[in-house]
Amino acid sequence: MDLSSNAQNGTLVVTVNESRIDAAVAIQFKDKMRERTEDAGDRVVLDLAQVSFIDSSGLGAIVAAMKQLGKDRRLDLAGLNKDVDRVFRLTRMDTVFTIHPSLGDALGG
Amino acid sequence: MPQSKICFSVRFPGTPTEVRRNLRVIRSEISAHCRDEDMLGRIETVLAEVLNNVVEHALRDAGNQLIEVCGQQRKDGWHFCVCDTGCKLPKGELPGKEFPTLAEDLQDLPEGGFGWAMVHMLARDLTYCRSCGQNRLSFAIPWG
Repeated sequence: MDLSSNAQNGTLVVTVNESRIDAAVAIQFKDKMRERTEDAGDRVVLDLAQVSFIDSSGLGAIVAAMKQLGKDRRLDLAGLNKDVDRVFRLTRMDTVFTIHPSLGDALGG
Repeated sequence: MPQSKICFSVRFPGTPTEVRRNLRVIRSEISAHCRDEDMLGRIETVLAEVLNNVVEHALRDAGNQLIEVCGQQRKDGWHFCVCDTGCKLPKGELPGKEFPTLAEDLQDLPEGGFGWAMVHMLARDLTYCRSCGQNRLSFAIPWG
């Protein structure tokens, strides 16, 4: 599970450099997110632009990553592809996360 | 059976890595006959949830057993049958279509329980039967 991160204007951007977040890698994803966001400020944006597919295990891992951040920090999502977006809409998780069309939008264009 | 019917079948070991690999194989098989990206996405989501369930539950104590997936294109959509020789579904029934409640408190948000609910939303004619030590789940994904 390849994640990269960098700080941009006080926001930590975590980029998923993989095409899938699924049952085969869900635990790894959660662990790597913990490592990447340990010292994050109050806002993290997860850039999913390279991810073409997630299943319910991957969705659960993203929810877990948000919970790991605790109450005082938030996790926004950016760049959801069509199949990823469908999973968020079907499960109504699109009402829980703030979802931005692209990373540029998430960072205020 | 008319020769015009488009169909395929794959068999693979019941592990998460093999599920991932074969979902790609299946998408590639179907995309040779179907360019509808929305359809391909809905099929992959349903198959992923069904196959993950087989691996995590039916084959939990027997990871080397095979899973067989057959697909056929028909007038009303794509029809699938998934078979395995793992343990039967609890009570011999399909899990329900209820979504977990999205709690208001962040720490109480559910991290699972969405799989079967999505399957029920996207698939039609879900039928499960157990015979001769085999689980057989069939369903259809309708055209959009």
